[in-house]
Amino acid sequence: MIEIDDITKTYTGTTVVDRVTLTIQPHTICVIVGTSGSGKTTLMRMINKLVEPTSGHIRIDGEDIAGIPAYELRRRIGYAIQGHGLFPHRTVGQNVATVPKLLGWDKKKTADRVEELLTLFQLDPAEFRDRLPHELSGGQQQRVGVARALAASPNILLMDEPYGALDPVIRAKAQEDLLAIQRKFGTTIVLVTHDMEEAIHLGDTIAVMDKGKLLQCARPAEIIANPATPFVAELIGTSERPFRLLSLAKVADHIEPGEVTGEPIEATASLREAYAELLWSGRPSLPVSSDGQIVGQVTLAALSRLAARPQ
Amino acid sequence: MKPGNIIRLIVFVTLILFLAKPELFSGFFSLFTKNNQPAIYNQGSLLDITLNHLGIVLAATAASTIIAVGLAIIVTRPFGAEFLPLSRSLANIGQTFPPVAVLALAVPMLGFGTAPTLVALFLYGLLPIFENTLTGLTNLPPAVTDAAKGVGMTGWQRLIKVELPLALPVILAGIRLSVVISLATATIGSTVAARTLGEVIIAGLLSSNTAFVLQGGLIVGVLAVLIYDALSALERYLMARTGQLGRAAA
Repeated sequence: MIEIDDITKTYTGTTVVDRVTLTIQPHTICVIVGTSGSGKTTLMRMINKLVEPTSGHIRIDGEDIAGIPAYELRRRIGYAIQGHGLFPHRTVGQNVATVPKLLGWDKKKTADRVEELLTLFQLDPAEFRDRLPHELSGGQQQRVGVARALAASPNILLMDEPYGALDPVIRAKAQEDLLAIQRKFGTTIVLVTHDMEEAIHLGDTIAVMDKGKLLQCARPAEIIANPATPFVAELIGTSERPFRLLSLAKVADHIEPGEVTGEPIEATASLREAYAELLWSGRPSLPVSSDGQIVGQVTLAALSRLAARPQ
Repeated sequence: MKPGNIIRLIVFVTLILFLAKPELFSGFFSLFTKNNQPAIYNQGSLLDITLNHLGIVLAATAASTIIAVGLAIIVTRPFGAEFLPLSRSLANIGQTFPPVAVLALAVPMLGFGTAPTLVALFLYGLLPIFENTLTGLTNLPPAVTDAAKGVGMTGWQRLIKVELPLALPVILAGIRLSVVISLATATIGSTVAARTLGEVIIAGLLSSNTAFVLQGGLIVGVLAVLIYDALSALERYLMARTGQLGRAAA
């Protein structure tokens, strides 16, 4: 659990983070959203002491981080940034092994861990271990960056716009990978982004920041249904609200009995995808398939009700 | 092999041959002599003098490198930042002081010979290396230095494992400049009795023997070009090795 308690950061008269209090539950993804200059990155960087707060406290599992030497704290917290920040003069394997080496792991344990992580991120160790970062594509570099952040199995992973430099297709893939890895390891993730779409897709909770202040911190459905301020509503995009709401749920959870013909939709798809397919094909309902079997239908009428503002 | 490398190889082999057996070239150099003057320098072995010349340059550059890189590291650490302007002006003074003046001032203290030349070359070599090391250490990719901090490296680990390796090509460019300047400047050392190729040139000037002047000048020139080329190639290799070819060397 990360407890941010009344944190303020002031740079020569300018308040960048203004009395923010925020609790991040263990094993969840908390996405901090805001425009540039909102203080979101500064807030995140105070968690691993890359920025020292002017006042306030941050506790990790009850322990005040003010008492922990910065380098020791950072070795316990994964850190992945936009533009990956890989060491250009070290191979992929050496990059991933950075924190284990700093922690003094033995060679065998480190090598095994590097192999495990590269495999997990779909980078064949034999092919990629000895390559230099500049020989990789943007998406591969980004994966190595996250693999390096996770190398010493940290409980907490901080990510600063990790997908900012990726094209939409690779970005979507990287987001799915992150969700899978978070489920696998139960890592607490704090992710900073300016993209509300990304926040709603990834976040268990979303913290919206503007001009240094925390405007709202809630589950995505709550933020969409009841934005705390006009700014939060604007960030969500008023005309996008019903679709964002639909994107939160899976078809699998809203299957109705009934037989319809036509091209089926996967149960793992989001309601938003189902809605788009219904509109596009001009059908009132779609058959739902799961593992190749038709398991029911999803109807336009039901989706319309679900897309309405929750009461 | 590329044409450039063939030319370099030919020049290098010719230089070695000339230093080992200068009399083979007497026919060529006799074209520049008058009144039956000797065509090849005859007051000492050209090979010995050249090695001594290189030795002085090497020693002076090594000392400059250690001091300049050390200073640049100190003034780019948080505790040394306030010394940045001071050390910059010190290195600048080293550069603006004419080497002849350094020799003249150093002789009364250090006597004639190699020592005053070493001091002059050492002072002269500081600035390019210092400036380049500063450039190299302060223009690192921000994402990389941020990541180095973020993974939990201490200041010392960041310097040794990340900052210096990445700044190395730029530092090397400074050393290259310094070596080439020193190679030429070392000839002046012969005016205070240091054993350098200046001796050959001065002997030629005193006896109006153009062949001697040419020999001294050519050896210095060819050495400078070859060393410059070799260090440039090393820099390019290091830049490519670290994927930094896009970053311009200072």
